[in-house]
Amino acid sequence: MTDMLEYPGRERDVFENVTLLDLADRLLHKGVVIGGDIVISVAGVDLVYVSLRALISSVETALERQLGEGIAFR
Amino acid sequence: MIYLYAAVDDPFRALRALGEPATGRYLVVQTGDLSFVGSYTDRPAPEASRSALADHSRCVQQLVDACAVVPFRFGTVIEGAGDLARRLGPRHTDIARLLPVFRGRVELALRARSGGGRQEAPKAASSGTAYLRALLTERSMAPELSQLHGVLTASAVAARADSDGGQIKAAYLVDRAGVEGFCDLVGRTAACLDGVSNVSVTGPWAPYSFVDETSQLSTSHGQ
Repeated sequence: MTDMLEYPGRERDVFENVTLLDLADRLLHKGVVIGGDIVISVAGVDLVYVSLRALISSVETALERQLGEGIAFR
Repeated sequence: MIYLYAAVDDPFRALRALGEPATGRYLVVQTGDLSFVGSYTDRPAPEASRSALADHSRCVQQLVDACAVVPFRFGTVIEGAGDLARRLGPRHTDIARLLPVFRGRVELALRARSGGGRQEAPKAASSGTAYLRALLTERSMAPELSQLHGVLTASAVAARADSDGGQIKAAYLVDRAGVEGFCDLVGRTAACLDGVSNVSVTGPWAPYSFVDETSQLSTSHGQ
């Protein structure tokens, strides 16, 4: 299971959102991209049709910002 | 429509790992010599909700525990095998090369901060060149983070790092059997470096950060 890993000297419970940040970082910013646009819906607002790189970048930024402010997405 | 999770080297093990055929949720799409795991969907635009991301991650995690996996980006939806073959293009060859490289390996993610004082890039500079030089200085990795990354890179099959000077966000491809040792190394190394703080390691992940490095990676560590 993907989770925070233990190692000597690591403080517990300090980085509670890190795993979720890394999850969003990987799924929305990395991984194989094939031809054609990816269309995803964000926070139930609108369907977002953007060229691939712009979409991924802005969504990741938005999600990280939300997480950074402690606001979980739905 | 089919929502794609990953390319896999062993579709039968992959489907078994996902509980098939009992659930009837997942399927394999074959194009050429490659197999891809997906699930039927009626949503051309998946919602990037917390639960959807977790669901995607859980599926890929189950796959990576069972076989070699090249993960897809969240939200990849295809019409069918023909559409996939058309959209893969040259990536077909890349994926075929990556699958054996990723076998038995996982990605670990590192985040760390430098406590040292960093000079901020000036809001105004005498010229564009001066501004860019100052920006470069600001974004260059702090020496202690660079040291940490250097030690970890030497123990990994491959590494990638982003830094804005005071913090590092890195990914390391490591042999699955070496995960525990790598985490120990992070702890020991960070403890020896003054100014390194807020160190976190997450994983093991599927190798999301290394899907574009076909030419740099080989099946043997250090080659």
